[in-house]
Amino acid sequence: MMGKRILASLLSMAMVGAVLAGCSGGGETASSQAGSSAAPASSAAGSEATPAEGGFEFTGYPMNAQDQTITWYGGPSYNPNAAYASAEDSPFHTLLQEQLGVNIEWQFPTAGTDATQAFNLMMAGGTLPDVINHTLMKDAERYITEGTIYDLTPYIQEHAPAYYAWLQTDTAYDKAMKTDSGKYYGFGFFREDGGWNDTYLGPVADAAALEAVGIKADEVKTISDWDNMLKALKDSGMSTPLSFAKSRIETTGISGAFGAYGLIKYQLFIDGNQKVQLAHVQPEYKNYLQKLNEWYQAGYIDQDFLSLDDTAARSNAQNRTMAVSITSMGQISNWERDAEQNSTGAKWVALSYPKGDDGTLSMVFGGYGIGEVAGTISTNCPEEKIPLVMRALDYAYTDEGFLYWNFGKEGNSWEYDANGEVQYLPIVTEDPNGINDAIDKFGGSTWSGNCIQATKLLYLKNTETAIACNDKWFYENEPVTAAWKMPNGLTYTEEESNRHTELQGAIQTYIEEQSVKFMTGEESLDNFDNFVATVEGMGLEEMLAIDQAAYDRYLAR
Amino acid sequence: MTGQAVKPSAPINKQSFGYRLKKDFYRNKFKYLIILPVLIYLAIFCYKPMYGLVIAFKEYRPNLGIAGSPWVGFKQFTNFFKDPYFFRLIRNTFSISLLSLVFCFPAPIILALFINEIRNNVFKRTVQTITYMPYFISMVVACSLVKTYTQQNGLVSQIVMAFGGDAVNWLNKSQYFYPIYILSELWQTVGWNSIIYLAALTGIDQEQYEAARIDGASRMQQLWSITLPNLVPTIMILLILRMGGILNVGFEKIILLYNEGIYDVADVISSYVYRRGIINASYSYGAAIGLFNSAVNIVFLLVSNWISTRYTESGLF
Repeated sequence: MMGKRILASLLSMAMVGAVLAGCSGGGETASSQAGSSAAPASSAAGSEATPAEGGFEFTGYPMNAQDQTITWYGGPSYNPNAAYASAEDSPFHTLLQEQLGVNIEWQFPTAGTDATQAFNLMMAGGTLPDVINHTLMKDAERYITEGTIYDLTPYIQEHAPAYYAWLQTDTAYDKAMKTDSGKYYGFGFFREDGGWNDTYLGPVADAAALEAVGIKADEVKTISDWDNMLKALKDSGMSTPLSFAKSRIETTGISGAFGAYGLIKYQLFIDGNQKVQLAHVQPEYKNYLQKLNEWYQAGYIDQDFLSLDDTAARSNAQNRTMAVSITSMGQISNWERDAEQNSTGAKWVALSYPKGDDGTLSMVFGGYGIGEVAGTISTNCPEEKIPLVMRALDYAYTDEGFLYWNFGKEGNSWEYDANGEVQYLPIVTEDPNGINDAIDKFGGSTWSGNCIQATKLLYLKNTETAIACNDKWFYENEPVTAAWKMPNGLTYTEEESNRHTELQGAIQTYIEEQSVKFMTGEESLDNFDNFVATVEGMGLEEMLAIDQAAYDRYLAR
Repeated sequence: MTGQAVKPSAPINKQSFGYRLKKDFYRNKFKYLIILPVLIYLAIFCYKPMYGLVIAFKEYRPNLGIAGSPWVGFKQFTNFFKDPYFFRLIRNTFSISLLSLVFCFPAPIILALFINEIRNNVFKRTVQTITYMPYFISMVVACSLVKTYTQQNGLVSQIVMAFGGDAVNWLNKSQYFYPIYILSELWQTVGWNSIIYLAALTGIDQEQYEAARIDGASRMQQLWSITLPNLVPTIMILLILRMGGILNVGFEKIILLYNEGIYDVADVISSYVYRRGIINASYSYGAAIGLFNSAVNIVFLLVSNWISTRYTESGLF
């Protein structure tokens, strides 16, 4: 009897288990449903937002529309500083509502989630916020045709005059923010100084450690110099002379010195004949991998680099287990401060982007100073509300809004000094977590946004060394910083987009996986030709033809 | 459903089904009330989302909605079968699943038998607590521990170096991925999974042991002839359930542990669905792979259930 009862209860437990297992099987659909709860009440907000008179008159900022609410998805760009639980506490977000004179209901992906994943789940969920900020340039045409976002062309001149005027200052800006059929789709991110800060990644070295082995950082210019430098450091007993966060090397690293254009991540480039190419099937790429593999085998490159992030790289820098790295200007500021605070004796300086021994330098990391994000208006926003939303977005491109988006509210976080230059107030400069962190609390342009990033901000935010790094990486190589890049504003047709996603999905996995294997020596470089043949067999030609067509249309805009 | 497996076959009833249901309902109305929340839960969270599966046969675009997206028939499935990674994904998924079946399934049984033989209560409880503690560590934390231990200068390398080996990053090498995966799985789940067997062990009639002792059976003989046979129904049911999830390799752990360098052994169906479906926004493609996955799981569940009911007379239904 007893045994039976036990068995029966076990069985019912098992059934509960089965129920749970059944549910985890349906998890994918369930979670995409759950996405809808992340975008609450925007339609409700929309209906109550219609003013009784049926129109909105713009008379300047603040707009005096506190009775209206804009739901605004900030995407990956300007989430509240980690010091605040939500946008309701964050000075930048709350003060922006005051400056604009309208209510904003902010939505952001949960900290730490992949931005693309959050966006895709939100899109699949159904109810969209009024403003969506995301890296959706490539698909803008498609989203407009499908009726997900508005074509802003009929409204832009009237309701976003400042933004429209800004776009007219450079044809590249204008081209980037229109689809091939000439439709304006969103509010982009621009750098005040063009490409300078797009070259924010580059090689750095601990000059003190180099000096200890008799090398001057200034004189390291070619790949042979790098060979000598790494060998000398390794011989001096340093365990991993060259270490980096994976995210900092996987885009391109020092590929320019080999005539290559990429490293681990899927990367297209434009060759000298205006042809779109895939970086990973070029013969030059093999030479690049060959050298990296040589360094990896010799123990120069940190074996753990695949699992290193910025935090881990920072601690390597602080512990001085490495002396050469590839990192960003922002990180260098951190490393320098760490070295000072803990008196480690490290002295981080920029290295020149190395050239091949014959002077080859095909490219360095960079761009046109146009970000990949765009703030678009979803069709969930009722038509009569568009002027209001456009004005809210346009603010960032007015003189006053430019200052607000970068530095915060005048008199609160900054004021003009005697020379009429922006100067932070103690609330920023004396923040216990450091100025770098505090800047984020008041401004929204540090990473990217729907605004123009002030160069002055970068000067205030970063240490002198970091600025010098960026100067070195950019000015030494200016002609090759952007010319190789696929412009950010390319758009695909729906058919192209579907087919491209299909082809790219498979190719991407393969090249990333093989690149790492070639680099670590798990796969011999003798098989490089097979690798190229396999990629070609996966429909490379067809995929590049799609990209080429999109690029040609872009040029013709 | 639960009742059928244990109840002897129901007496033949000549009255109509509707009548019997009504009668049963009146007699057991409170029992029905108790089960109602579970039914609602099932309907909302398990059956309603199933409607979304139709996107596997469509080219789903968010704005067109599930109903409005165009039908494409079996295109997504053919694409998956033609996918260059198809065989690799299946192979990896099966390898990981079978390895964890072979190693992680018997381990809790053995542990439960050991614990059952311990006579010192304090020691017994200490062992139990220590072994099931890791289960409560969040997956993210557990995986970052594993990652730290397997770094080039991590714990594992230190031990290997002490025995004269080389320091490497163990997670960068394909051949070590399965051992790392299985060992960490064992560490995390063995204690927890042994609880259900311990519960079953307490239910064994003590008189059987007494009788065996009087007949002069040794501890080992008691284990073989009394304990294990009594555990068989529990073991079989858990095994069948496990077979039903043969292709459900938990993607959280894989995604937290893998990197591009070991895709060849670590990329499984669910991680690929995640990359294609969520990251690359090929919703329909992801849903099609997921559906295929579930279909294979059901086949395994039915087959193993059939085998089990046939040979051990215990099964789910």
